[in-house]
Amino acid sequence: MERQPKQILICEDHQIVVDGLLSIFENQSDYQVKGFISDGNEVITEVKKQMPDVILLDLNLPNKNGIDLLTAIKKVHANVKVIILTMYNNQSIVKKAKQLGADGFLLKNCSSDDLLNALDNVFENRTFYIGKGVKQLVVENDGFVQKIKITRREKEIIRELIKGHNVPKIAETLFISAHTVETHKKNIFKKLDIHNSIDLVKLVNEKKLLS
Amino acid sequence: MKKNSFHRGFTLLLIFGLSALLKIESQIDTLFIDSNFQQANLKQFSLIKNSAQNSHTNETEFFYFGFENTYNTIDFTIKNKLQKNSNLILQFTYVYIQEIVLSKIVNNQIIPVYKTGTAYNLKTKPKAHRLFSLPIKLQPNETASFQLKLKKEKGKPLATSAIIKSEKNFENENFKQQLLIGAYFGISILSVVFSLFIFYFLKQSVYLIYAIYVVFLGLFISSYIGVFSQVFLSENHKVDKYLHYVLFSEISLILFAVFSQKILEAKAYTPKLKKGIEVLLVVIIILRLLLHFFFTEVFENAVSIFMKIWYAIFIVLIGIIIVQIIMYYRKNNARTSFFALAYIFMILGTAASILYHSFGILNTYFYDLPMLFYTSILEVLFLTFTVIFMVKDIYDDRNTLSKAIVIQEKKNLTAFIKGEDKERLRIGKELHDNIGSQLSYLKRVVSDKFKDKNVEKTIDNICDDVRALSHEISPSSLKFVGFKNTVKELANNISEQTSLNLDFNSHNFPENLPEDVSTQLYRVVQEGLNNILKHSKATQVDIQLMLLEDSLSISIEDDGIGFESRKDKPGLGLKNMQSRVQQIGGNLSIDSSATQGTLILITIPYKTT
Repeated sequence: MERQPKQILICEDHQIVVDGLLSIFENQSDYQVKGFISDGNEVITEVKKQMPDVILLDLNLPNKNGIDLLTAIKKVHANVKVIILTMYNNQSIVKKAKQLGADGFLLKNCSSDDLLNALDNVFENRTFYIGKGVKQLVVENDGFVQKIKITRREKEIIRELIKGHNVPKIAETLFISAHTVETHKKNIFKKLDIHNSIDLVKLVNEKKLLS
Repeated sequence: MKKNSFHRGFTLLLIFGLSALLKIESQIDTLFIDSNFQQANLKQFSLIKNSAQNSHTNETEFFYFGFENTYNTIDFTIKNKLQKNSNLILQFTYVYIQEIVLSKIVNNQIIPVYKTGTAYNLKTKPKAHRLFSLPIKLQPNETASFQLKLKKEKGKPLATSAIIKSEKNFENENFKQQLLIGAYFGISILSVVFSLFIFYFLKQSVYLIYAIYVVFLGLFISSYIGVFSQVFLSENHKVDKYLHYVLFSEISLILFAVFSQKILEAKAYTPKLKKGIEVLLVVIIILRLLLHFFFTEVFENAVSIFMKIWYAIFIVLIGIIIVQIIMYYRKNNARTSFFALAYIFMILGTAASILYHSFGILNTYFYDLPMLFYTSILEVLFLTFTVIFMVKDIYDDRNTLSKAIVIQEKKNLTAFIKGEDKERLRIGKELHDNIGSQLSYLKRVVSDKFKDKNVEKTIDNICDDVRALSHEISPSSLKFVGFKNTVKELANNISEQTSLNLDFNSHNFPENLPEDVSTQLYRVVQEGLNNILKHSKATQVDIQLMLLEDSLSISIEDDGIGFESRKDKPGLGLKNMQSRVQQIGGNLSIDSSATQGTLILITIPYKTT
């Protein structure tokens, strides 16, 4: 039984890129380009109308950016595969795209093989496809509680605070503005989740913050 | 009640009338000297004979001899009721009497005692005093008759008080006068020093003119009250023409007019009146000089008419300046008020001395010093206040101006930054969209045709470079992932690519901030990190993003060498950062020291929703 070619919708505003993509899919029996859109505003209506199998989505579309479109696309067409095709190569963007439900991430200067690999991959495996050259995501443990870091300047301020000095006095001793000291103090209290200097003294003794 | 007050009024009137009668009677009486004697007005117990046929003795307390009169003899008698010698001093308040001859009448013989006046050398003054002060000595119980001859210049009136004082009273009053004169010159010298000081700094002629005016006014007053000849002229000098007096008075008049025109900014506000004043000044001064040196000799009889013309012009001059004051008052009332006060005192003094000397109407002497002397003190005082207010105005103006300049500079910087941002956005987009897209197309075409991995790799490298450059110029990821994540990635990248140990910490910092806020904040952080990378020699950097109660704080702390020890001072960069933070309503502070490194602290108001 011959497989139906997967229908592709290209969302890309640069003709030269679209042309390039079209030439890749010309000889492909598995994939067929159903249409291309260059305006971010038209993407959702076209997706609804055409119900493609896969979307190649540029992040930098006029009027509406790809990140914003991702969620909306998945909303109107839950089964569609979306592969981001972009010039951007930032970990944070890759991570964000993944969070928002993208199925793959490719750079525009990817090779034809890479593109086809990505397509095959998103249909066969269900894992997030990362194209060649794309910055790998640093594995972050979500349950990891960030260790509180007290900076050098903050330690100075803490030393003064536990001596019982007030903000103006500290500002005078350290030759910095009262506003700076005040902000430092707020930062420290916020980080340590305390509300007064007594708590601070306790915490400094308990946790040896200054060592 | 009514009746009562009527009675009282009647009694007062009666007493007044009686005392007036007594006064008239005393005019022809002899002066008795007892132990309580302080002083007595010569006019009240003397007989006056005039050279002019139709001249009348006026009712004033002082001697006034009109234009036509040349000499006067005054007879008087003094009886010493004391058992000891009595030392008296006959003092004249006017300092330019041509000739004073005091003679004692002994057995119907007139024996001259003193002969002095402006016609003689200064050493003929019997007492070294600014005024003509003639000592009179009486034996115990002596009754002495004197004849005083006063000669004056024809064509000029003479007004003077002649007072007989006990020597003790003379010394006492003289001391008080010295104090007053000292106060006058003290104020004048302070005013001159002050205005010269201001002139030195501001280089505006008005202050110099004022200083010179005060000097000449002082010289005029000092010659008017006799101090000038006493202090500056030698014993052999004669002051018969008293040129210095006339010159000082005319020069101070000119200087006052010039100064008033400057103060009232007449050039700008009342240019026509200013022209009028200039013309009148020339006329009045020529007239005065002619009157003094020429007319008295040639047109003796016409002098009083010319004097009146002079006064009329003078009054017009005064009137014009009053109009100018009123017109200028609308523009600057503090300064004008002081000037007007000073001006009123000047007019009062001048009017008083004219009424006294030329018309013999008003006695204006207090403590043997003329009204003009007192009004001059007040005039100088208030003019100096005027000058002080002028200086204050200038400083206020300068402050407003420099504030305006600062605001303009800020605006310029903001505009510059906005322009720069716009241009960066454009270049970033261009790099990213057009060049990037074409490069990716090129890569595909090339790799399909040549199947050459090296070419492909090279093009990929170019793509990476373009991408990195584009990101640095215009961080598009801000709009996709927000400020926090973009900074975090920047920190990670720097940590990976350099030896710098960069710790990023965020405490509940919001993911999404308004686009302009995140753009400006990112640029500031970028600039701060660039500074650290380029100049600070730091090894450890902490970036902290914090959410506080009602604000966000961002701090970048390094352990580098600070700004002070750097050769290239970070001028524009810091200003840029400051301006960017201000644009989003935040506050940027930078603490930097050679040993403690640098801390950049940004706070912006933020409401958690």
